[in-house]
Amino acid sequence: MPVFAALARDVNADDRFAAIALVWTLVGIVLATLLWPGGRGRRLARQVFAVAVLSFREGLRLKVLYTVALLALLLGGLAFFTDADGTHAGRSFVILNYCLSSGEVLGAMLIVLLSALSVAREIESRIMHTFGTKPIPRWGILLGKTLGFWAIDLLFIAGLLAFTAVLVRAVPLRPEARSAGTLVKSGTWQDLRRNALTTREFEYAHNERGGATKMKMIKPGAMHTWNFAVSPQFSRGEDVAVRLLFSSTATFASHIDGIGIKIGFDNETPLIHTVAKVPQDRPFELFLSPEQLNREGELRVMITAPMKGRNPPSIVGGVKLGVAADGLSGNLVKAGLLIALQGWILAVITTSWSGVLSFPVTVALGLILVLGGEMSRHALDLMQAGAARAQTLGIEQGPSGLQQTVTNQLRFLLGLLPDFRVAGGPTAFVQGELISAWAVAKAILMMGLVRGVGWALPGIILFHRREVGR
Amino acid sequence: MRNETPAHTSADTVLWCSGLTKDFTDIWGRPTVRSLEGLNLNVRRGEIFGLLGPNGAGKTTTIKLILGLIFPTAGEVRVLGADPRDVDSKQRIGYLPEESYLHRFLNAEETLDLYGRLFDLPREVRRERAEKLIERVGLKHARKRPLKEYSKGMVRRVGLATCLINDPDLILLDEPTSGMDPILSHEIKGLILDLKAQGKTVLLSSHLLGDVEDLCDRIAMLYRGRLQLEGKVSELLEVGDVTEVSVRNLSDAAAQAVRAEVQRQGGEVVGTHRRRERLETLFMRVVERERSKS
Repeated sequence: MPVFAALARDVNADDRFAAIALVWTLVGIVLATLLWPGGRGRRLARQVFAVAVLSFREGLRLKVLYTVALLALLLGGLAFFTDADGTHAGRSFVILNYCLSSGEVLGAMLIVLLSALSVAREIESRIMHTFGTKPIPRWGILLGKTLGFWAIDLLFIAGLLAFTAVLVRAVPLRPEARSAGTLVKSGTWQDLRRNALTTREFEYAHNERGGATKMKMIKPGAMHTWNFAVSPQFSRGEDVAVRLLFSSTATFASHIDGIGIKIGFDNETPLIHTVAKVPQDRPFELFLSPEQLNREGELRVMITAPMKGRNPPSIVGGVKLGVAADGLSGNLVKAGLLIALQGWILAVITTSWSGVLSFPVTVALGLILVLGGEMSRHALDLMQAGAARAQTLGIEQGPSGLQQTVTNQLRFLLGLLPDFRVAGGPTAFVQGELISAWAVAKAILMMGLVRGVGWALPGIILFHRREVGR
Repeated sequence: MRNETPAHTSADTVLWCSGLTKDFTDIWGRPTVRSLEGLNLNVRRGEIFGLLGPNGAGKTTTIKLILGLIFPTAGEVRVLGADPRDVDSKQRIGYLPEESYLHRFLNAEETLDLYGRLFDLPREVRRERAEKLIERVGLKHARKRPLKEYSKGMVRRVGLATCLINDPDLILLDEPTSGMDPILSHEIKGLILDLKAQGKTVLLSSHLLGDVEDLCDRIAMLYRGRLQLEGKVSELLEVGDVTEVSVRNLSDAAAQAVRAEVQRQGGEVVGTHRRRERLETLFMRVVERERSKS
């Protein structure tokens, strides 16, 4: 499956095209300006490159790079020796999660520390007295430094991704998936790839009104059906995942017993028909082969909630159909690109401000942007999750007016921060959802051009006006 | 308007300041000290111009204003006909700061290559000039060693070489012989005179009066941020009513006769003394002698 082949389906095609065209147009303008033969831009590009090479060499000498790299390797290594839930998929998820998350967080820390050091320290050590008297504009110095430190971040990310790939491939495969003590299927690399390492483009079931059905409350003993239109091209020649997610209104147990699952076409022998004990609040997948779906028709997924007790709990279920999109290497590249994009934005912001603020203040600013933004976002997620869950459970009284107001205001304020999760990033990969080309384009546009440059611009302007020789 | 030289300056003017004033301020923008007040300067092409003054006189502040590292509170500066913040004019300027602030992990060659790149010099030119300059400042033997292993004087020499890597028209030297031994100091002075011979303009800031006297065509003397005097060194140092006559092989009796004749002519003998050599000349002669032996 080619990388970037699939696009998200919930975005208008014209908007998608316009966004991607805009990104590439901007890239084209920048390249043309810099590379025009004999042009001033070309001279500037060479000067910026010289500063970038210097910053890269300077960054390589700093111990912070090796400390961060060692920490990332330790975290990844730790994940390798974690048994997780005992399955190959579980172990792979833990490795991917540890490695990519540490890459995201430690990479951000690395770039903040490197770039916060750059101009602030050179002004304090008066290297800027020599540097600032050369025929390169100040923004060119900032750009060069940004590029140099970003190159170090890329080096770190590339190393971490290679390490991650090696760890995932090194997971010792063994027989797994037993049912009542009988080996159902042996663990192979193909199984692992299909179960855990392939991200999917998900299709939601359509309802009678033509809309998408995501979650549905199923009362005890009742059944609900999710309908999907399939065709011979639908599977793209790969196994199709039926992803199921259940939660109970009555228990917090890790599993819910007695869920009836029937998958098939009308008036035919079901493809899957079982009563299963399923995990709660964690998605799990059942697979259909391309041969089983090689036809036109309406695939029905019927879920029956167990009948229990006098006043039994309900089951909240969600079903979606996932078509294979990207494999391990493609996903690692995309996750790496998104982490790198985050590093670039941070480098641009922190380097710009490092020309105005002192080193400790610049570090604090970078950490506020990374950690503060992330932590408040988690808080917002919790608040929203509470409201959404209340609505899902059919509680008529929704979130209070005050909670709604606070949530909205928090959302507005957070919207001003660089959004490091706008594209889903590694989290999306771990959740098995496709990181679409649209998501990457949107991340470049929104996170990179709008918020990143927006945050950096005041720093650039102030640095331009700053006396560096005091 | 940024690139236009004011109408009242001549085509020969390389550096022009008018009413240049600089106040340093605290974090709230309140002025704390006036470092320079109403400085007027006019440096012409091809001359060595000295900025003299004790510590805190405003010499370095003046140079930083000329380079656009700090900005004037009042007044105007034009360097090579342009505003000091004009990026293109910096292509023709060389600057040696009071202390050489360089990247300590680079060696001499790499440092010169870096600054050559910042001037966008082609690779061959960078290599050729770096080689010549390293030889000129006497660092050929240490060219591959990182600057952190250099002595203060050696770093200073690299600083001087980086200052000249772009073959500048205007060279600003802030205490160029500071931290250097007498031999190197002598060589640097020779280098500055060579630059003048090549038609370059040099602005030299120093509180070493001997250096300034030896090198400069004109000087400006600053004290507490104000210009005290400005003019040609030869004119400023001339004592109008005293004439010196140097004579070789004069006997004591003849000297007595000369003294009597001077008095007869209405003159007053202020003093007679054996001519003394300058300590620097003596030092250099001894060193040269030992060098020639080895």
